[in-house]
Amino acid sequence: MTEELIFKSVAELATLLETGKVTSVALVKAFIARTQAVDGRVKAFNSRDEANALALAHASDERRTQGQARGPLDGIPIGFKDVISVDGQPLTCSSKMLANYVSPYDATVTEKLKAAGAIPWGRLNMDEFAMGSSTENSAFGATANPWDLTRVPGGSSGGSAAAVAAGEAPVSLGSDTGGSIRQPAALCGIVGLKPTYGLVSRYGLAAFASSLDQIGTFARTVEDAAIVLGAIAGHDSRDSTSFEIKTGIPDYRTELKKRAGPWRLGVPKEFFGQGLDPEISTSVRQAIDFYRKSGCEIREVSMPFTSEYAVAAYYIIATAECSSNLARYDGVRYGHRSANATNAIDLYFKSRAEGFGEEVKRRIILGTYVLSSGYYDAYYLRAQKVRSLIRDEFMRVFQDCDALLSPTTPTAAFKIGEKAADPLSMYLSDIYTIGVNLAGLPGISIPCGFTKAEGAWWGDKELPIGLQIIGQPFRETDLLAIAHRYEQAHDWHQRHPTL
Amino acid sequence: MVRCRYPKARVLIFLPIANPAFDRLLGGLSVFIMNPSPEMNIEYVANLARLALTDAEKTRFSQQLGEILHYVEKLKQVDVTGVEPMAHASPVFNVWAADVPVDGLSVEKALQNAPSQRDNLIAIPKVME
Repeated sequence: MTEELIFKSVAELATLLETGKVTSVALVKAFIARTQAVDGRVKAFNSRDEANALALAHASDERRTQGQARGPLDGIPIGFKDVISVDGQPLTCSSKMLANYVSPYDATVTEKLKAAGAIPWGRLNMDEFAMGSSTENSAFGATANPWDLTRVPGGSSGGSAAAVAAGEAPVSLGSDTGGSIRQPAALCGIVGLKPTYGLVSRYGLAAFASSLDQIGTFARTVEDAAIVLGAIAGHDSRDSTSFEIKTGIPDYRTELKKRAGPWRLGVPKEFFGQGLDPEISTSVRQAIDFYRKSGCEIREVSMPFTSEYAVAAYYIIATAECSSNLARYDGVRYGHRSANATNAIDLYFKSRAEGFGEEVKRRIILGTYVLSSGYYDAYYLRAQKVRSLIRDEFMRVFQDCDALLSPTTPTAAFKIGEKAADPLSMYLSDIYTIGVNLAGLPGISIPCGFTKAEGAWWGDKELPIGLQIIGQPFRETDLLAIAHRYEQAHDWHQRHPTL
Repeated sequence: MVRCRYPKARVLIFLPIANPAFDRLLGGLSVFIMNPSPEMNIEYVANLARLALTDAEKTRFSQQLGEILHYVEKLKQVDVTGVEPMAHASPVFNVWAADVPVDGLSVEKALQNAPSQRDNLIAIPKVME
């Protein structure tokens, strides 16, 4: 029974719950058993509260017995990236700085998911404070890619992606600042959705770069991503960047099946240039051919500006915002406090030196530098202007296209340790995803193939490949419908790693 | 190793000289004044960030950040004349909260993560001598 349940979609599990074929308690027990069996190798979880999850599962079963079930997520366990607050549970951001921190309140997304009956299931590993692309920058050790345990799951939401891919949770939440949902989803062979900036409240999300951060979801299917998005989207007065859609939040799950296209789909030619792995190029081009054959109009578009300057602008803006946001970790009110400080000022220096890991320190230094007197105009202000030009370029191509198609990543999952000593090469692994955050657009990665395991005798394994679809602001319904169309005609999402 | 140059460095050098109090405040700056370098002055920046770095970190970060700064130099090729800077991507501006009192965290919850506390207050080392 366990094996049958752990790889089912939320939509399928909801039907089993509704028809009484399975209870939420049985479901949660199945995921607990699976996690106990494989997480010693995958290391997706930072912490989990099995007793609490089972208690919530009991409550869900009670509701259902009384005819008060709350919808498709009632009784479904959902993993949380360890950067989103769940009242009474640890929130570490995979940092020594917050190793002993316990959330005193729920994030808005947590409140909404609890109200929908979903069961918070564990806090998932990540790059420290979401800074990284491999989940190696965690104070608690790296997470492994379930398809090949010697490789990274991507990042920063690597634990969230690995947990779903490995069958340790049916869906999970992550955050995406420069690709931190789409890139690990691609590397782990699952669906990763980053909504439009402002659609999902960031209240209760530990901030990295506030003008870019967005909460989103990992799932096995596009429909599951739509179900979770429907539950977490919406205006929130506690997040001043939250956007109120006057017509209300659409019923994404129902709408995505109603829209059949055909769509006008743009393919940015610069996203297929130097540095793209040939196998990924082939798989993504086959996906583009699929859309062409299904009646969509495929247009080659040119985005020279985004492909050339997005990474550079991003690493100035993101580090500037991170240096400001992480100033709050000063050893005074919460978080790590150095035991060796001689006075109040020394407390700042030593608490931060002891509490932060290497990549976080590197970014704080860079961000402080680009904001410092004499350099602000040359770096930060200029990067913000380049950001405007990047957004303008997206809006220009969207005049003739409903969405854009591209690879999610230039390469498949790389080896643990391969890029650890070279921050710049790690930064460049986000080259196709970063522009989307700068422009505040929605994006999704869906599985579109596997690399060939030519050296299978040498231990090589097939690795997942992701197709990125970039949508127009607040048009998630179209984005999901386009992704769903491809998924319905392919079975990549039904393949699972052997663990 | 790639290093990059910062033509505006002089601005930074003259500012604190005109203001001795500011100079004292930023202790690490004196090194910068005596030894103006075309590279990022990592001690000065670390001091602004209130971050103690080891000598090994200073050496490593200087080299890595030099490479990253060299990479981002490409932004200088872009003509940004007349372009408005973009602070964020959300089409909302001047958001005000309704002037309605709401409950905050309880004292107990607000202090539950404090590293040290006394009499419902967060305790820190002495600030005044």
